[in-house]
Amino acid sequence: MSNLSQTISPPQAEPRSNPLREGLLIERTPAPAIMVIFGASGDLTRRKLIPALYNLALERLLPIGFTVVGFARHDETDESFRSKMRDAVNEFSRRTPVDDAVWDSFSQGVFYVKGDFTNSDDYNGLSDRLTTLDGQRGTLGNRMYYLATPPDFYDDIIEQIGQHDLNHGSDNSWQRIIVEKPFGHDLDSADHLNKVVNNVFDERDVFRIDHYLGKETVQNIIAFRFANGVWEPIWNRQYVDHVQITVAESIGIETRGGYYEETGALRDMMQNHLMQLLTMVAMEPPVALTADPVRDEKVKVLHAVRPIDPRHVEEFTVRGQYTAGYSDGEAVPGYREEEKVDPHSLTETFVALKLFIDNWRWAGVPFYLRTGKRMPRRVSEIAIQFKRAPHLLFNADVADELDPNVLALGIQPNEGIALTFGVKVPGPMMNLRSVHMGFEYGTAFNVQSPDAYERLLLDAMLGDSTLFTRRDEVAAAWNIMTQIRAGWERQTVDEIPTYEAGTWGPEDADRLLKKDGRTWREP
Amino acid sequence: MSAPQTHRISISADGQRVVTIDQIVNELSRVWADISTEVEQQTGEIPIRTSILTLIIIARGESQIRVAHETLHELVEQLPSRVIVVEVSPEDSAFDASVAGHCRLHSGPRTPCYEVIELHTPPDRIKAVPSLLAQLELSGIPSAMWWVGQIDFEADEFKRLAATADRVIIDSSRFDSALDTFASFDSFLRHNDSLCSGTDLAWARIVRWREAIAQAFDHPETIELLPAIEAIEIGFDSTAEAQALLLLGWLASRLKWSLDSAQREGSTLHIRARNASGGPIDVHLLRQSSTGVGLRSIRILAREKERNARISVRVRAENILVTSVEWPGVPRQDRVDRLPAPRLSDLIGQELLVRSHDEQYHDALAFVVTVVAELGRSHEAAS
Repeated sequence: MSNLSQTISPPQAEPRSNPLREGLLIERTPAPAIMVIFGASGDLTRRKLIPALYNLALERLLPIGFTVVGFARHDETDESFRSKMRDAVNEFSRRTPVDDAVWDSFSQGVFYVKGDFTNSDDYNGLSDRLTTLDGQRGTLGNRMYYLATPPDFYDDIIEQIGQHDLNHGSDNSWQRIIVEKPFGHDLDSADHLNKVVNNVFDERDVFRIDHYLGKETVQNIIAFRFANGVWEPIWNRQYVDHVQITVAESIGIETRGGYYEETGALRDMMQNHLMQLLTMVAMEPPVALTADPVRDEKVKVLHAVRPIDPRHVEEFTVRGQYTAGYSDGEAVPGYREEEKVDPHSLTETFVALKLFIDNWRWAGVPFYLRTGKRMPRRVSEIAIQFKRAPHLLFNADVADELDPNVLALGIQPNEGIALTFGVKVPGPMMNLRSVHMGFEYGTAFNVQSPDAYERLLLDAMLGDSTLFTRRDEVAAAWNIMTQIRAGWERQTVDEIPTYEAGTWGPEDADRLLKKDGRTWREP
Repeated sequence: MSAPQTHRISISADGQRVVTIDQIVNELSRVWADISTEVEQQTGEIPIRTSILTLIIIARGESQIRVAHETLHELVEQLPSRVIVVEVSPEDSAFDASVAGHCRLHSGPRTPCYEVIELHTPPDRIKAVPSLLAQLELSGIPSAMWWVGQIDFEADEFKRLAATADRVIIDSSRFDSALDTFASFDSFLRHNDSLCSGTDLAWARIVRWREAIAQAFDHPETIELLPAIEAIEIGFDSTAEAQALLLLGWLASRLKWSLDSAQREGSTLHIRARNASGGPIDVHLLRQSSTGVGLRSIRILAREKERNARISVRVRAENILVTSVEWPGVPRQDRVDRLPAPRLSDLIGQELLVRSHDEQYHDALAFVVTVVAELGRSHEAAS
């Protein structure tokens, strides 16, 4: 049984405020620290972490003395590691080419320690190097550990950090850990990992990352809901007919066959990204936009999600698997033909859910969520469909022309907000037509949004966990998913519904809505 | 990327009658109808106009008008706006207006669009302009007024035009004698505090310096020494005295310093101030013979008993800004940042992004005004 109770940590001492910061756009920078990346030779480090840190350096958001230590098994020197990371920045940064002067300054603080994640002696070497760097770089014992390794190593690394006392430092210093998803693969494993990490780190120092929360458009859901008085009065069961959340990918599983076989769409996407979107759109206004008040409200939503009885899972869930088809004009193989995939695999590459949130605000309003690979296009969207007007004054033919009012919040790639409503077609007759009023971020703010990792790394350095997932939040989301999986396992099927690559999922997904008299949007 | 879609229609004044709002609004509607059709034909999308402010630009004479037009297109692509350019032309010119819509077609989904209304007026008709501006400003969103050149803050024309905007942006670096005008601008802002706020692009030019200095004091070791600053030296290019004074004004106002004395000796300003505890602070502002248009360096010494810190921010070749922090027990830490030569559009855009009432600027300006007054007194006493 999961422990859903929440440990409230005592507040950390606020850093002394800097009067010179008043009025500047950058309100504060983090204290100098060493960021230790476990798995420094991996893809995440090259594609996301180092480019994000370099972009923060370009934006002058890193503290003077900021230091990175890569820790991995490969043979590297400081110089060779820096050289590889420079190549990575050139390839993956949103701002290229690399600015020589800024890179040279930043890379003076980049170091490498060779080590095996399970070898205790190697952590002694790491510890010595960190102490030396504190003296050279003025980093005051502040540490941010980043687990960029396969999850199999999480337990070992966290335990070694604890055994070598790397989770403690001098007074006023801090030691934090960032854990990448997947955070467990079911409720039991998530509970286990929570226990392991909380044995070594206080909950306030644990930052479980879901990069979706670092996206500007996801944060804008909070701004849109709580900065505008017009929406809140209608954001409830009185006015909302239903909500659709779609996170569609056009790509297949690429080279991740082995991983995906063990995971599937439910664990890979639904448990984290879609549940985060669900909580952002459904939560009550928090008392403050700080870590615990926001996460308290998100957790309440997850606890209010009506459990899906494993015996009735087919009424509320649809899974599917893509077969060969076309994507972006190219013929693509089916899932079972992909590398490292069992030719008889029953792993789902698509999942659709119908959820209810049993609270006063949302009682009776269905939330339809779907995610899948090899869908017609890459798109993420939340659509709030409002109830029709209670009594239409127009004749039936005219009224049929009208679509319901829909408020669509585009997450990616169309970042913006659109509202559909009916208007009169000019002319002598009362003809109606639905029109679309759109706001696009690009047209209002012609600036490049920071990458999600930039925002999240900076927040973690500042100790702000608002955009990170709390222990009880992870457990609550897994609780929902675990019941669904239990239901699927009861079904003992030897086939899974399929859909052709390049389509919006299996027919069962359409039936899930059709039986309620609704249809999926095509975002 | 294709060229902007621009439609320009001139509306002439009818004899002595001033161009009417209806004429301008009707022409604007026609322009957007044409542009919408054209963009839809080319891209299949209806262009979306988003405005986040009304920007009014006041430009006198050919060179200012040219600067205004060069800057506004760069600016509104960052901050989509309705732009109203008030072009004050020679005596014998006609009072007329023109409107234009612009949509820049990108390959992606973004098609930022904005509109420009030009009001061409001879000097004797400028009195009529505020009544037009009041109706042409978009309702419900802020308005900002950028004066491209020299301003007579005492003139009725300035007061009436400035009263139509929420924010006035000046550029004291374009003034014949910036220091002499600070007191007038400060006085204007004090008297109109509830109506509008103001800022100076000389202030915008030192943002990166303020950020670098503030960041050097973010460190737990150095922030403790903020009250213990005892000496400052600021080097600046010959045309950037206003920036140097505003930087000092910012430090002084944030740290609650008061002015003791100020005197000029050749190319150096010697200023003595006191911190909140009464401790003395020696400041030297050094005019350099360099040909740039900005600050060159700032060195700060803070000392308290056994602890001390030296902080410097300086320009290195090729637009590089180096921040150095030294305190006992740790080797000097340097950080290098790119300091690109700022375009006017970047400076204005940056100012429009900060909250409308810039208290820090007003406070810094107030300190500078006291320094300028003290310089005047010491000069009189010496002569």
